[in-house]
Amino acid sequence: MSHQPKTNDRWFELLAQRATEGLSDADTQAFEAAQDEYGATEAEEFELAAAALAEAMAISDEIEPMPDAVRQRLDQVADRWIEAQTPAPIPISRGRGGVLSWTGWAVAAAAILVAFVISLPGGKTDTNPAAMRTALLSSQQSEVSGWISLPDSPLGLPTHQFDKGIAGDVVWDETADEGYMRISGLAINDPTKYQYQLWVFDATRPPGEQYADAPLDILKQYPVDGGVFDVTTTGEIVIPIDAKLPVNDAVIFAVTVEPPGGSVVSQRDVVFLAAL
Amino acid sequence: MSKSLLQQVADGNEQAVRECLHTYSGLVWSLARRMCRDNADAEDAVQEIFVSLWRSAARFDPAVASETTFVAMIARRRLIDRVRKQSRDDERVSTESAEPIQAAQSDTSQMSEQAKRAMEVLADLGEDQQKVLRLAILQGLAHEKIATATGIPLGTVKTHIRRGLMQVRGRLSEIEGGESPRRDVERVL
Repeated sequence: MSHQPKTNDRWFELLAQRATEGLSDADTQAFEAAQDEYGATEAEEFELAAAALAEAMAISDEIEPMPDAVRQRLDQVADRWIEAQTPAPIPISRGRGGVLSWTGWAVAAAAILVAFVISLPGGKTDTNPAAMRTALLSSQQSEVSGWISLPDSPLGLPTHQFDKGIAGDVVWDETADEGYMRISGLAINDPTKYQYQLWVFDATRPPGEQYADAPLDILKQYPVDGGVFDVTTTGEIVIPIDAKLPVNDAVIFAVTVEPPGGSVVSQRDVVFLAAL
Repeated sequence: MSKSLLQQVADGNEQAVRECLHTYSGLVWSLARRMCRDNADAEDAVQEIFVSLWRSAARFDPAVASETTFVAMIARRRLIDRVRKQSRDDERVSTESAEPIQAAQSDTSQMSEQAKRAMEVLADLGEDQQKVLRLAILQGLAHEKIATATGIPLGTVKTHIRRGLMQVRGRLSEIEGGESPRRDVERVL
């Protein structure tokens, strides 16, 4: 097959930009519109060309071995990933007389709910997060933080960092990396101006350089992104925690204010913290 | 014909998951280290990359790309996304590692067939174009920053990148008896 040259230089410019520095929101719209006309093939081929170049350059420069400590943590990630792929039997405990205990039924119900949510197309959930939280509470593996009413001084941090009137808690299942933050008092946000983002501080993660001045060692790390969310109503809301990386030992959950789309590295405009 | 590592991962082979780590940890770490701001950031990135790789293992098709190139493609998608979300205002741009290379001096024995072809194209390019491509692809620098760092006009930077990628794409299409890479590489992210 030969590649028919396109006369649209802008299309090729978008392909090259996408394969190297990525596209801005505006360019993404232009790309998607052009893709309808030209198809996805060329975009994929540009990505493969960039990948082949990257591989060639990296090997030519000499491959840098992954540090042992990083590799060990990655092995743990692999173990957890494998574990997550293996269907686990539902741990139903039996009470006296062979009747299923309430806990057993609750765990089974939670498992069925989770299975239902996962099985939905595209991973979308139309299950009420509040109901999911309640189900998770019944799990023997879940932990719950105390209800925190700010401005207390959680973790010894100065209270001026927090909005007044915010309160909430977290329920978290370490084995499933699943959890929900229940929170009230957050201001309704305009998603075009800012969004809220959840973060999980994992005791097993290394410290980052950017937060060396944090008052607690645990806060010196780059936390795990727990997902971006919007507040569209006043009152109590329940937010599913969507950890983007496996979490080994969750200790603190935070909510920050971030630019639209969220951040990879937060500027730490913290509005809420909860500790397990 | 034996299955590739990623095909075995897709089949649920636990050992293949670990073997995948062993085989590609160096390449993925090398790519991440060059594009991320520090080791902690790179560590986060490689975790994301491998989880993404395992999840997308079923989409690997050896008729489309070598396994190594597929791994590099997944890694780059995650890294580009990550870098775009980060503020790179504080980054120090180094052009030292962007010196031109000679294909004859490079050890290509570890490279996939696609990477060898890409290396041949790269070695034939002019010094400026090589430098621009290395800064864009290996260090993940934005085109504007490349222009600032090298003194090459932005329009020329974009042209160098676009034409370089088109040349590599053309060379890759010669693999598999003149067939272009197949059209069904699915979006993974």
